[in-house]
Amino acid sequence: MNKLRARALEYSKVTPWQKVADSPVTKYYTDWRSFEEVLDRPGQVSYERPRGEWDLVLGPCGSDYNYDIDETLLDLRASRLYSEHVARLEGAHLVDAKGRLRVALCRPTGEAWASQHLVINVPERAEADVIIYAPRGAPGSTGVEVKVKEGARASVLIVAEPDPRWPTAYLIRRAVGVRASLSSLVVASPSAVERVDEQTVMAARSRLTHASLTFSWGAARVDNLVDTVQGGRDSSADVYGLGVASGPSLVSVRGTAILTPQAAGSSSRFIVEALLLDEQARAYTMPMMRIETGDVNVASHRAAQYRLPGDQLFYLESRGLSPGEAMELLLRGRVDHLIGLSGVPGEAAGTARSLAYALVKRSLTGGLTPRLEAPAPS
Amino acid sequence: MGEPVRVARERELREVIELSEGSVLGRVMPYPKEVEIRGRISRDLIEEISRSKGEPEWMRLLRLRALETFEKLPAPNWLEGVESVDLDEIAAYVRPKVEAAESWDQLPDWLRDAYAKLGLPEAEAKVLSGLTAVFDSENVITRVKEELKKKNVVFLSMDEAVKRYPDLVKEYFGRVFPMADHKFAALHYALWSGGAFVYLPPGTKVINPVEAFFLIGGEMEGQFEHTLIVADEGSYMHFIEGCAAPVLKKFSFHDGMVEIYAKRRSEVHFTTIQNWSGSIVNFNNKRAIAEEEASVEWVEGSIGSRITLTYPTTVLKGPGARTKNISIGIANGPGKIKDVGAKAIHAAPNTRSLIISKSISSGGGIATYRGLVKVLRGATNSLSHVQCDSLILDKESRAYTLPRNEVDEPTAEVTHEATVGRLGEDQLFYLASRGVKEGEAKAMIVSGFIRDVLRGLPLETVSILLKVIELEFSELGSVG
Repeated sequence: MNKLRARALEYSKVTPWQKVADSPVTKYYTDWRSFEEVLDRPGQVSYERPRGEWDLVLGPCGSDYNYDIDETLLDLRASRLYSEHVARLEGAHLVDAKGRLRVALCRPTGEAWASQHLVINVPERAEADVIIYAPRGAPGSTGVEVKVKEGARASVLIVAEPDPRWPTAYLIRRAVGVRASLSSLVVASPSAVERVDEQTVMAARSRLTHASLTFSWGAARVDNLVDTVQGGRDSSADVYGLGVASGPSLVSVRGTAILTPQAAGSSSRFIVEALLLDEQARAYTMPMMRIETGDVNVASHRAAQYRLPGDQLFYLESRGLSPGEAMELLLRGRVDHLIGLSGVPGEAAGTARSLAYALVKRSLTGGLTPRLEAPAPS
Repeated sequence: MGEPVRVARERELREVIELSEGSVLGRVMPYPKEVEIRGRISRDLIEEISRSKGEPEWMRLLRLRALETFEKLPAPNWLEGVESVDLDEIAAYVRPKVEAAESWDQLPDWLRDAYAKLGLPEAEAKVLSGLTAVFDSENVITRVKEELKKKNVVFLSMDEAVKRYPDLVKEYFGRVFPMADHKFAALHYALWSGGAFVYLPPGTKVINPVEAFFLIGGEMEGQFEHTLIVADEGSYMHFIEGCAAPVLKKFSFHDGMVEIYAKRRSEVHFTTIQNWSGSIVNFNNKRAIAEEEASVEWVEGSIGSRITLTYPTTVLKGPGARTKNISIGIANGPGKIKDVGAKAIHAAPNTRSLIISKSISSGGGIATYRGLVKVLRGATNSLSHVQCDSLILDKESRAYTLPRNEVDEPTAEVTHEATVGRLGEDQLFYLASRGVKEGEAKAMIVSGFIRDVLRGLPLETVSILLKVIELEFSELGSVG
């Protein structure tokens, strides 16, 4: 075990899952007890080849581990989840990305905890368009780190597909170097307890556009955390989060936009929304900002929880669409809009769209009881 | 320059410095005290306070229960800036040597002068229908005018209400803001003294505002006043709370509480213009319960103090209840923290909440908005909108906005928006080139920044607020 993993193991013994409660009313948006219960569950884990055609398939079912992870953007002392993730890695993958690249991770299956980790490196002044498919069939954590070096341009789509039965964490970290730009999109289907934990660290004059799309249905509980740390001057971040909840599920879409004292002249826009499809769904939104410098250009955030507009649904139904078709059409419009905001180009946008449409359909066929719509504005 | 001129100049500078240290009251002056209780916060200390006040047994027991709760609860681990407060060092109870008065003439000169500097007698004469003033831990004057008497409004000090209206007080005291809510709420219940009690009979509408004014006289003191307002069905009132302290070398600690019970169709407006001097650490616990069709409006002007933490909360308990929460927080100076916000709990159908917050940070201060909108399942068709804007006046200052929206009712709609912006050098240059000094320029820009929330507020609130803001950014407010 190398030094990093040894350190992670030590920290995992003394670090709590979460140090400060999320709110006075709801102590924790992530159900940490579920993670605790599966952490040392006995059993074997096997690795299945993911479906689809890929440039790289990484893991025991494909290309072997090639990276003895010795550094990470995860703060191992911030949460037991991070230190357990690193401590339990059997190996990791490091990929230098240039041009178009489609990468899939092997799908761990079983009832025991499994951790996987992938690092994508976009070299200085390179250009890369990357699609990462991360399916899971076992409890545990998948870590993805994207490092966009100085002057590089990258777009990254991450498809998170956990097993609906198991507590799952996707730990996504992005570093955008000086004068680099990143367009990023995460599309996640739900599991029983899921934490999609994202953080982007930005250097001077870097640019980020990012969107996260999470779905929650059945009894799922999805906590999507999207943090941005602008640590260099004249950086710009536009971050969007959309959670879609149906059935007796809960989605929380939240995060903190931080402008450090070094981020003079920077701008930040942070928008989170939750769309509730039926009478049992619940949603929490928390767009937070910490502005540590007075020399900020502009920073804004917005949050909304809402339903599909009744007048628009009525319009479509009066043109012959069924209620389900009307809802699906409007949802597809919302999803298209979000994918457009992320800035991911061509193939990645198309892939994301197809997947998102399938997830929209799944959201609507879970048995909405009854359909929910907002009254038309008077 | 010759020697006499130099001496005169030094005296002039000294006077300016004394006046400029953040309070119209100037530096703290000694005054006679009848009782001062300080020491470790323990059962003995609580018993002594209760004995000194001659309280009924049920209140003594409530205090002791609160002490147990205080000892069990952990300190909130997200607080900034209060680590240095040693509660065992402060005087938990101070009774000045003043007989409770019903007119200004009955007060001793030193106290009457202090209130005159603050403009209280004038305000009471012109615009208020009642006033009670708390100095350190006790009410020193309560003025009840004809309007309140004619309308059978009960308005007296909280201590007196405990003795004269025990059943009424017991029904509501501690029921709106539970002592176990957090550690400093429990501390308040253990040590509370002074404050105001108001009962509005059904259908009573009090036209002119009622005020409670809180003055801390010395350093290393704690003030724990309790205000309880019970507005019966269909009643209306506007209650104003004012706060001040002289400049202190060391700090003093304020942990006050306001409980409002707004019954069916009643309307309560509660305004606080807080201008503590820069040595005060200020916790302010405020909560209201609004029944069916009732309305509670909070206006919170947090201008003074070294650190302020206040989050006026309304529980919308009955269908159709509504609340509006306007807060203005100014953190002006290094080490100044204004951690202010609002909470709205929607617990019934068709409830409405509107939260507007304006935070200004300057001179290295930190302004934070911290809020919660919680919509419980069953609060169908509820609406909530939160708007929190921050203005940062210079490079050294910081702004945080930390809102939480927790919606368990899918028919509800909750929206939130916020912006953080910086005062541009060009704006300051424009004003400076027209002969406007920097402090005045900042005050003008801040007044413009908050203008939209001032619309609709009572005139007296607006004029006091603007005056206090002007003071804050003038020489008088720039130090201490």
